[in-house]
Amino acid sequence: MASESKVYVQRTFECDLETLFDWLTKPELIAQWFGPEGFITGEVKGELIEGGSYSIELKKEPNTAFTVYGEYLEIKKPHLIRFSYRYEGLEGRPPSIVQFSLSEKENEVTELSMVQVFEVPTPDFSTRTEAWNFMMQRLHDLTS
Amino acid sequence: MTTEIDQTDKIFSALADKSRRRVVEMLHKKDASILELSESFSMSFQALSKHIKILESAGVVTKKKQGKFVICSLDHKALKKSLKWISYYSNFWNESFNKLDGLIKKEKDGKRK
Repeated sequence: MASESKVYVQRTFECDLETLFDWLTKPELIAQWFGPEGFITGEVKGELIEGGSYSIELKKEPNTAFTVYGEYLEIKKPHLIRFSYRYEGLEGRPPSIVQFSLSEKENEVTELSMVQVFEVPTPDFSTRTEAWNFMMQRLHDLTS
Repeated sequence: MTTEIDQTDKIFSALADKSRRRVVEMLHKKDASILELSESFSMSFQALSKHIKILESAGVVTKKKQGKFVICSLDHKALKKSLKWISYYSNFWNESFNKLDGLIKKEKDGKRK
């Protein structure tokens, strides 16, 4: 039987709810922040409707690129976005589900709570881990 | 061949259960026999033994015989592996959000000027 593993991140941003919602959903804005240090965000596409798809290309250098993609599952503007999250090349495996919950803490200060839920263990989970290990090794090689 | 990947899967599978996480928490404080551990659980000794066997199979818990008792200990090295995996994902988002934070601040400063 599959169970879940979760990653939580909570942050506050100095802007109002609507502004943060835009940064998290508009392709031209996502392109400016998505991805870990050292990566450049390439093409970002998205159709912000429930059932709509999105894709984000991440590049380290011209020959090393991969795409994160998925589907918007739930949108409650400007409070909640829930979407599936997959890596290109790992199709057929259960996607993780990411949820962004936004709440205004005070004037011009918005809190973002993010949770990424992984279904574990599945027979495919090892492949996902293998892919991440490969990417981490590649990242390590590129950065050392 | 049991690979490191298989082992990571086993660790996540073992830690997916609430009772097993509780065993890990208790063993984090001190080594204990199954009998000692069972005093804190409402389940049967046999049921707890099964949970411990799963933790042992994942390499999270090790057992050694001490006189009449079997003492369970935590293998911190195995747990570190799973923490490393989780921290990768946390770092991915945290580093992304650091960039976002910088951009929002920059935009705000630009509006003030």
